[in-house]
Amino acid sequence: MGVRRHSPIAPWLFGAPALIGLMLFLVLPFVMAVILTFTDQRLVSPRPGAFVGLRNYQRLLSVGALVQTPERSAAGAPVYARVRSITRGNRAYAGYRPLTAFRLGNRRVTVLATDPAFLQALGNTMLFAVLVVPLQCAMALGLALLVNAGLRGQTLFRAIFFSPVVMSMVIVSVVWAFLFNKDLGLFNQALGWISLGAVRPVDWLGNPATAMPAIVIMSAWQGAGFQMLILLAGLQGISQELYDAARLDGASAWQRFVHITLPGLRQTVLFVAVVTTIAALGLFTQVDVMTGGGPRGTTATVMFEAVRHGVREENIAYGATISVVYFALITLVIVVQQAIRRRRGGGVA
Amino acid sequence: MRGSGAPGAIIMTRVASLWRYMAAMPSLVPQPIRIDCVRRAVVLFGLLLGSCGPPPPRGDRIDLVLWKNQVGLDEAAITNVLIDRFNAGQHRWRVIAQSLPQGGYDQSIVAASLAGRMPCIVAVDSPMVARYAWAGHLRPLDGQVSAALLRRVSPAAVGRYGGHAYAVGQFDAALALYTRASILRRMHTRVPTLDRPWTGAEFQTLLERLKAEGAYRYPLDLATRDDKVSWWTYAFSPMLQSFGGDLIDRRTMTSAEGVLNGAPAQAFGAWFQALFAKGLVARAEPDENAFVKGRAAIAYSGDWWEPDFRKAWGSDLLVLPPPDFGHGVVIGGGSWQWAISRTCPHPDGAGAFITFMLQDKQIAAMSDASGNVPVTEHAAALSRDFGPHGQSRVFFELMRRFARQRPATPAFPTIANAFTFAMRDVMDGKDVHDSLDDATDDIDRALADTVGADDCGRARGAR
Amino acid sequence: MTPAQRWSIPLRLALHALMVVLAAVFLFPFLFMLASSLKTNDAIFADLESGRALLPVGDLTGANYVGAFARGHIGHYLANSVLITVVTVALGLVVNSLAAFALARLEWRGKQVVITLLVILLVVPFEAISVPLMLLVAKLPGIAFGADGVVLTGSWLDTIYVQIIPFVANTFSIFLFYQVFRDIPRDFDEAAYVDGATPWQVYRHIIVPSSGPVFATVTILQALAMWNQYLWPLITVPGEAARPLMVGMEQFFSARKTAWGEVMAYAALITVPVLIAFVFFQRWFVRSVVGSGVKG
Repeated sequence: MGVRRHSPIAPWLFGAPALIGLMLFLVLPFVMAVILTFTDQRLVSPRPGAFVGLRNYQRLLSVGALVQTPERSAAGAPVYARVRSITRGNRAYAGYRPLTAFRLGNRRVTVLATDPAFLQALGNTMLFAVLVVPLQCAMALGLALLVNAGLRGQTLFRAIFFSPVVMSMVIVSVVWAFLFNKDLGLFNQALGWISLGAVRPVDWLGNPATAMPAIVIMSAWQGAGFQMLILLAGLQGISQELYDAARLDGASAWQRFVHITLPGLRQTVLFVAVVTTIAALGLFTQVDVMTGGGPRGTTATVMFEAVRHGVREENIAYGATISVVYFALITLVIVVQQAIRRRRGGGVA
Repeated sequence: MRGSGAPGAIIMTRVASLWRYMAAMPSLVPQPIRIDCVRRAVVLFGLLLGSCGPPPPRGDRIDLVLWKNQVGLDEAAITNVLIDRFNAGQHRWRVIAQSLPQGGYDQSIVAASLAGRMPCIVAVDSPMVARYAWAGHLRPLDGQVSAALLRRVSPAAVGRYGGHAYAVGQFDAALALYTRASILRRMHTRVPTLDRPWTGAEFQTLLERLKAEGAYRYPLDLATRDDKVSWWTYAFSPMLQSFGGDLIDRRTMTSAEGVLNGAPAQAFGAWFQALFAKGLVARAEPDENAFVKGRAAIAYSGDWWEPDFRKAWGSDLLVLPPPDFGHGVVIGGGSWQWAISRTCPHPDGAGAFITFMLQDKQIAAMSDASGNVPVTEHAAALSRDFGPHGQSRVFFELMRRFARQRPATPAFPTIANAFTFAMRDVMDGKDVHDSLDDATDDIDRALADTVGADDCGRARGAR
Repeated sequence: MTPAQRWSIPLRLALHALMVVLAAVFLFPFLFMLASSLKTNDAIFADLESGRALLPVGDLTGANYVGAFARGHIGHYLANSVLITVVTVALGLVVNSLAAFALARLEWRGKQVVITLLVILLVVPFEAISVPLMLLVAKLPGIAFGADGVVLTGSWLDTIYVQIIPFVANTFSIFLFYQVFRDIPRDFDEAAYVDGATPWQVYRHIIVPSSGPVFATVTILQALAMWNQYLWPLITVPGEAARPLMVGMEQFFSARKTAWGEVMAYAALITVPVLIAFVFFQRWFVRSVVGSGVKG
């Protein structure tokens, strides 16, 4: 193993086409994006971007706090001065907006940020990933097992479960938006019918509490076929002899699943989880088509914010800053996770 | 295993044949620009980074490339007819049109200008004219399209910036309220006229009575299911103006403070929020046919819906001016307009084309074929549908009397986005004053960033 | 294959029933698309509130398909999309599997660094680099094919290859290959090296033949990504000559009123060939697995 049996340039020859491509079309543009973050470049502008130092990062990431004591008391409840009146009138708070607030005794503490929408989007994206990854992976695993069971017509069913992946997101969204509609949608009609009218119609996409779960359900449904495919490849890689031997030993289907299928799929499942997470962190299209980031910003994601600023408002420097900061955060998570795994003796990825 | 066993050989033969196919690609579609570019590139061989530049004369005619946004079938067809008419009517120029998808229109312009491939004539959406002019993509129409001609065109259809006209539209659009005569009779409500529109209070009373009557779950359809920024700005900023507010202060063009978050704007926001809170308007209708299907009693929409509404309700249909909320009726003005690119080597040819398109006869032809509102009195008089007794005359009157342009500033994309996000937040119950302050701060920052101190004078002149 | 034959009949029936129910859940937008593509705009909206939306009932018309071809130039865009997809995937299979081979099976200094770098590059969202990449390709020297033969131009804009070349090398594909190549037992290539084989021969005769499924998976996934490419051609390909299918669909949304019937017809014409290709690919996929199973 340790003996090298090939010339030292061979690996570079094999890797060169891919590496050159990645360097030119991925690394170089990304470096350009990083440079953009230090400028005030806009897509349409009479002058080239000027160097503005860390201004974009300041505008994106600054946080602060405002502590208020009540001005007076009305009917037992303390009344505070309007936060905006303070922040907009005071130079020290220029550019800051409230993100969230909490009470400390009779004081009110308002957390301020220069771009609360970005921080909210960051939270939304994490929430989405936490909800959708387990759901979608479990669905995909179930589907993969089902269409790998050797039942009649499995090729057809594979195609059917895969079909949402192929379909235009715009059309899928149109149909789902109708399903989720408050007054006429099938979801509420079904809920009302099952509960004999006890469940009141829910405005799935219009209610801040349900909009994100609705997107999660729709996304898992839409994407599961993709993961199913990768898992299928993994399933077929498990040696049939193992199953035959287990069967001879009298193992039940469940025991075979737990002791052969799952361990055999470990690498694949891990890979699928990583892939799904990356896809989830890039959530954009569903949100753009179904909710436009609303209601009240509860479904806005980081990519949605990046596109909003970088593409729609044509502030490419700020859009690049969002992407670069986001990229740095994810990289940090990966590096930490790798370090932990290496400590435990695991491999890469 | 053979399939995956020898991918290399199979792939290479495939690539070879596909490469030949690629070589044949340009000939599949007539695309004169490319071929001209190629010829030019031959001439400039060696200057690899050089641009294709101006197409050289071919025969006795000079080609002018035109870019326009993709539009509906009727409008695209009549535009092509008019271009053919122009080409047939003289011997110096030949206009060659290309339709671009709207979604990437701005990026395409920027990319083309970087690569030195800007077309000669470009269609520009009215609120974007100032931005393109500011960035130096356009040249003023001065000297190419006569000032006398521009004066005949309705003011909202001329794109001005920094004291110059940069773009002019062949048509405009108009917003209206649609309802049915039978409904107003049942409600004992007067039919408003162009001279005496409904007041805000009258309108509100009608909506609440319609709701109380119980026949309509949501009496009014504001097309809020369409979450596009272009619709929200076009549809609802005129209402804000009618309340006495505005997107930005048009006297200075440098701030939204006080106009987008002042008392009139807050009154507008509160009214808008209450529409949804009281169930007078649905947050998102399941489809775009609430009025056609009779789910809504009143619709607020553009002239382009009139044919569908007419088909559904016939003579019962009423086309009405939007309400006057205190500062007069306001509707949005300015649609897609023609402009000449800065790098166009033949601005006189582009000017000749635009002048041709502004002939009353061509405007009338465009309007009758596409339903777009004509922009001159004479064209309207010539038109079948928009003439004094034409079936669509009301839209011409609405445009002539009430149309106001969106602010001509390079920061418009941010203004539109900020206003739309604020109004959607208001719809969903966020504090009105806070939402409007958010939008004001976003806009003021963008104005400070884009229109720096040195540009203020120009911006002021743009008014 | 897992021998389902050995399972009890009630269990098989239950599993079948479950599959059918799930199929219905997964298929309804597809049925909606197909049914709507045969209806007029009015009929689509009239049927929306009932199950009729999923069925081809009422006055059916082929006019939407005629419109998609006549107005949508779908034939031309289809040819572009097929060309872009096939060439990118074909080149990608070679380029990415070669790189993965070097990473998984060859020993060299700096390998770990490159692998870590690849993992990190995996998370760079395309949206983050699309604008700089556009600025880059706008100024790259390119080639044009025309009446005068092959000549050089100053930009990649508005070409077929601007939609191909940047996407051939793909971190995700490299990673998929790497995962599989790494787990292939080393015995064979060790033996081959002892017999004097070159790395190329090992790649060509040992690694590639025993990884059929991953080639199939990469093909399907990368082909899908290319087929559905939208943002990139939207900003780099203004003209119609090199326009792909997805961008071609834009024109049906550009009008102030969306012609839903034609959109559905167009979408069906985009989707159905892919599903058919998928079904065919499935057979090859399964066969190749059987083949590798026999070997392994």
